[in-house]
Amino acid sequence: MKPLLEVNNLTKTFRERESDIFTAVDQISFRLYPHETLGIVGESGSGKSTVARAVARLIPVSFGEIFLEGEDITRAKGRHLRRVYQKMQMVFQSPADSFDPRRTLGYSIGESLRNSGMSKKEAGEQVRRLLHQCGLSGATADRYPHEVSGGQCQRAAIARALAIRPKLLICDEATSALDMTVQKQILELLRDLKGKYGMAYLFICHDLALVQEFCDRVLVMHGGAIVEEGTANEVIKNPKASETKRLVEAASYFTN
Amino acid sequence: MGEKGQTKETDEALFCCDRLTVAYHGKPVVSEISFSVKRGEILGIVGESGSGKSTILKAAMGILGPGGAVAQGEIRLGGRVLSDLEERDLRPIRGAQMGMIFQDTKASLCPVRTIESQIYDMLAAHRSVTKRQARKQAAEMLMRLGLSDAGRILKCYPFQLSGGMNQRVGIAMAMLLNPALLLADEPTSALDAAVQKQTVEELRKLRKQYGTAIVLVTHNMGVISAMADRVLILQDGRIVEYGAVPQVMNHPQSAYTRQLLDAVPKLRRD
Repeated sequence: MKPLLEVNNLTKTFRERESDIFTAVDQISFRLYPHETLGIVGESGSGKSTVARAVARLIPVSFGEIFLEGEDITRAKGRHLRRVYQKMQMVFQSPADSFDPRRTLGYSIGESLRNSGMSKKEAGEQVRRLLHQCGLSGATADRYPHEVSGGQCQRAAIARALAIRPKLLICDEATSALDMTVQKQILELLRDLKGKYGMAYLFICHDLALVQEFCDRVLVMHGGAIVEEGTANEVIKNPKASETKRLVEAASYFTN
Repeated sequence: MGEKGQTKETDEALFCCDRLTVAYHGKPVVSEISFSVKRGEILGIVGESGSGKSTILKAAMGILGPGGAVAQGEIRLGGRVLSDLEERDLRPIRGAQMGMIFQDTKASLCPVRTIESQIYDMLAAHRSVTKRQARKQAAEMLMRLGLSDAGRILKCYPFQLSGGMNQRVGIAMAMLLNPALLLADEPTSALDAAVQKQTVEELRKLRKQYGTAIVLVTHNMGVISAMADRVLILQDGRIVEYGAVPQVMNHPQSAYTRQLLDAVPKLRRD
């Protein structure tokens, strides 16, 4: 099977002062296949979010290549990048911050549909369908981000990401700020969508138990590099790298 | 329980809420909340967003904000009824007798001043202390919280520190005045599991050493089972369950508690 996403030697450096260069992501390579959920775990500062942002083309890459369905998107911009975003979407940790506060949720969710040529009426109907699919009422379309709860706003963010039926959804701590019961519902929704539309997820998460429940494969990052990878069960039940062992120990402290 | 038993429990309690109802603009947010915390005890308050768990802490601190008020019942610390006190009388109690740790310490620190100078101001507001003494005490407390380069951290500005470091600075600041009661609102939620574990262990050590009572508000059942002695489950501003942690975790009585526990992903290691 051809990979949906292929990342080769991805490196991201930040210049801190005149001469100080900080390497946030250091030559990492991985592949993500269609219908697959790939988790990236690691402690804070390990570089996992930087990978997500680089793959989503939100920050420029310093070195390396990113291919989506075989197409080089490493330096895609303008019209090309807009086309890329029809295949790839992202959901962030803080949903309220990722919506325009002056627009209704319905407007923001339908934006990509209208941009792709759908009429206002059609887009409106589609938005309502998406909201229902994500467990929200159609009336949510008329609400502003500050008028709904964090869980509702995150579902709206997922509805927006799904609007143009992407093949890849990048979730950066998409459920971390939510209540556990809401998190469970969102994961059920994502699982359901994966079954229905065969989506693939790049799932950045610091909760190992959640990754074990939701991901097929997992990459463990530390200091910007991948220190271990394998199926979620392999990595968690039989961790090899000392960093992974530390993560598993800490996680089991809280889940008994 | 007879009259006598009730009086005895009130006597022993360091901190308690008695039929507390807090309302914003006349609308109750928490209703009829009663619990008590003894010296050295850790009580966890668990609930989902909007359940009113933070409101209880804010009511105790007297920081409910505009429109918020204790509508009924009372909050007591030691022998004093906090909910009756004026702002002026609350001020010496806050910090010194009742410390507070917030979820996002960085947001509660001044961004343009070093950690050291903020700790000095905080200590100097409550007792007579020199800068040198403040620095020494602060460094010791930070070391105890696992920050080995405390000297450097004290010279830093909040933005130069990671989330975990800032959070431990917040805990250190609350502990430096050695309050009898610590109110902690999601103190470890912004931290990753390894730092979270370390922080929880330190808080437990601090309570053992100083006999500090802690009221811990969180949505994280894992933190509750690792840290608290008793737990109170809150739903829509009302208590649905209240008891010893092992009892509630292993034999939840209410359907809501079971639902909360079921939603927590479990790590499977074998």
